[in-house]
Amino acid sequence: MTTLPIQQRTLVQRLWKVVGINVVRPWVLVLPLVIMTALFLVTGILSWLTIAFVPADGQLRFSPEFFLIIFLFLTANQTIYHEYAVSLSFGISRSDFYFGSLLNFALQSIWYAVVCLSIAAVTGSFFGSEFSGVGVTNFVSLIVLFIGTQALAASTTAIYLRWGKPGMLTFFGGLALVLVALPVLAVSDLGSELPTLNSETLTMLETNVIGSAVALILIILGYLIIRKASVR
Amino acid sequence: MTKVIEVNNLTKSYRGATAVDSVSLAIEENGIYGLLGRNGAGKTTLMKLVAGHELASTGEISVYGASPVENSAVLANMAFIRESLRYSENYKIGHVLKAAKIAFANWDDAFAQSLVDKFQIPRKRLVRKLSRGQLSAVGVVVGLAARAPITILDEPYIGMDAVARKHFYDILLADYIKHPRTIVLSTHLIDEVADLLEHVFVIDQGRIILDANTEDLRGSAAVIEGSTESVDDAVAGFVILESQTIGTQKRVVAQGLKAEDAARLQSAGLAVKPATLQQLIISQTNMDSSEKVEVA
Repeated sequence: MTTLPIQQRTLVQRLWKVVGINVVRPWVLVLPLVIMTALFLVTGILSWLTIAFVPADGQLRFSPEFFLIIFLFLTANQTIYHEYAVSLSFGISRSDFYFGSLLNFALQSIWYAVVCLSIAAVTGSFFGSEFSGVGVTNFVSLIVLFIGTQALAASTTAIYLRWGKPGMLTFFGGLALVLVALPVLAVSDLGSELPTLNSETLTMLETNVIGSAVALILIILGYLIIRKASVR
Repeated sequence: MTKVIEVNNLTKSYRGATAVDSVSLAIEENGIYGLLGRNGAGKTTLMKLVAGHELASTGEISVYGASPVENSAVLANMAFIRESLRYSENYKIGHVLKAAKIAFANWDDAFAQSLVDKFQIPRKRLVRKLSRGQLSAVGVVVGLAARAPITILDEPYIGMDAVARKHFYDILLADYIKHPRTIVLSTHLIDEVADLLEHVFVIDQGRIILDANTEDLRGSAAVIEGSTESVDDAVAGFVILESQTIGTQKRVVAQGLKAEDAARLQSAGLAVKPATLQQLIISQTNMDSSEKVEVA
């Protein structure tokens, strides 16, 4: 056997290569800013035109976080789905592709957290409520939320890549069962024994820790699934 | 010559259906290899296994002495371009080339741009809106300009018209001479690629039924044509790979003829010419696929 003509790059170089491929269309980074600007303007115009849109306290309530959650879920889904086969064909391993994409998602999460807090500082609105100020907790909450959203998209797309439609049907079937079971459990005697998890009983720090743990579990699950997915 | 790919007793099954069945082969560094076979013979599955895109059911694959599965060091030396490769929804050719430039260490951007012009790929149109032939050309451009030490091309040129395919074969050969590397081409258009290939593997029903140097293969059989009676008399004692009778005329593909045999048959009024690669392979694939044919 001959030696390798091209020597292996470092882990950071390999992951950065995937980030580069992910954003080969820079428009994917610009588009949310365009949409957020449009939403901001539309919200402002509607508030100005219609008194009904202005809250009682007179504050403009524009929160791009909700839009970003949906946008990031979709783009993460599209990134994993569309670039998986291309990346593998271009000599990239599944692990490098998956973790390189997650690095991209993490960087985007940090960027959009900064954008959201900047907007919140101007509008005074954060998740539809009054903004409490730029702080580490709010910053971390946004990053955890955005990474968690993208990790959910990555892991569900990994299910599709590995098992196709049967995998998705099983996954969503199971999810539907859980969603049906939870309210039933909540009103049952057993449910009354469980600790209540809601915003009133959890501190922001606890929410961040739980959110991070969920995101980490989703990331690991996604990796375990995608590392044996075939290329269709 | 050193081996860069070694496959030993490789099998891939899908829910009882065996796509690749106990395949063993070796590919040496710097050569153009053909993986030939009919549609559904197992070519794509075998290539996917070698590229680490599929996981083997049993058997071993070694690329540069290691398994290619999840091996970044090995995969960095490999490009695997398939006809059915789908690019990101909103990619234009420029995005594909930019991604390839990031991915491949030996990427030649000037060469890629010249190929885009040569194959007349529209630069402003989305890749998903390209015609099948143009999409094939995108794969060809990436496969050639990547200059990956191991380049696996799974019929990416199949959607191209005959003229474009001829361009591709010419460019491939010229570029290979300037930048030698290991190229594995799969195709069922055997005659078109016959002059390119140094070695062929023929796969049928998941099994390698022919593993031969192209030159050895070309000299191994001849086509003999003439009246049925005289052909029957002449070919007695030779291995007949294929036989076809039309009216009073008969045409056979016979293996094992020496130069003096050919001269004797020609003097008896029979037409004798070397069998083409396609004739040989069609003959072989018509044989019992459990028999692997060895060509000296």
